Amino acid sequence: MYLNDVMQTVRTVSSSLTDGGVICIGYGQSVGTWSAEYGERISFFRRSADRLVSIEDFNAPIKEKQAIENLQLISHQRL
Amino acid sequence: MQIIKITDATSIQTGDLSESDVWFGLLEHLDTNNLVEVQLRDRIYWKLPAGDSNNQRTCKNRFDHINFTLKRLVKQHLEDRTVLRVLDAGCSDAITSCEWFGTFPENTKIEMLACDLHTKFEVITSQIGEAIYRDDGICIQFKLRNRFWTAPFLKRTIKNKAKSMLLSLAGWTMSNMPLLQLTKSTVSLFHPEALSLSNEKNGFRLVQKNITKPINQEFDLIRIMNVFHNWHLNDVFE
Repeated sequence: MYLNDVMQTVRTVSSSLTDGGVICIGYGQSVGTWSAEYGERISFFRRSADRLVSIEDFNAPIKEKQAIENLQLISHQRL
Repeated sequence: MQIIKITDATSIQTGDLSESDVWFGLLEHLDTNNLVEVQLRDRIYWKLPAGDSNNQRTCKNRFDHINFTLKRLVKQHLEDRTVLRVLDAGCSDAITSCEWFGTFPENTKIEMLACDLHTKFEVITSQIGEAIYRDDGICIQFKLRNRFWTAPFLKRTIKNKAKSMLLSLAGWTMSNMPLLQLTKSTVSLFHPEALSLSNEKNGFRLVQKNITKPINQEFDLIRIMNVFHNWHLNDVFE
């Protein structure tokens, strides 16, 4: 349920991006660790047509495999 | 932990504050031109409920490292745009939005919208007490003479749910009691520096917005930080 909510919110917010626009997403607990200052995962995407293309990641400890997989899921879905 | 009830600006102390120590209504009376009182304001804001299970927790320089990366990405991907429409979603008190606003190239016109779910609260005062309501109508504190009660953050337990209901009932009773003279005032939760910037610059706007709902505007750059806590999302979607 939580991941669905995350995906839905990311899609809702991203739908306001212009083509070529950039979005910076910081993740909280469950998909990452607690917050930015404590090593939260932060990812940058660029909108290309109706998709988000991953352009850079920030603070991505290997232990957060789940977070990385979730982000990849988002970037493969149509907005 | 030493518990000190903070009810006026002279009660500034250095220990860790618990939300039950702080009367949020103090925000209304602080002098935003006084550096010490602005620092106290920041500490009180830190303890304000952001949802039903989280508090605001933001501070200056929090996203410096992200702003640095975003500055590079703007140069890399968005340099051709003469106007940049920017959204800072879930900006808390927007102090980090102010800092971000200052990082863009001078020759680019910036139109930044900084938004959060909770941007103000209302203080209702009567002869017998005061109640503080968040902008979603939730009573977060109730004060009777010099004692006050704060709504618990984690409302997952029956005990905490009961506490919150009692608090709401106390606030409602006071607000609807005949013969009481009520005064209402609204307190902005945006940082004084953010409010000043929005007054000075046309390109910097502060608004209340629920970002889980569609925004009928287009942006070239969006930052959405620390919104995706599972508890926070649960609160919004419930």
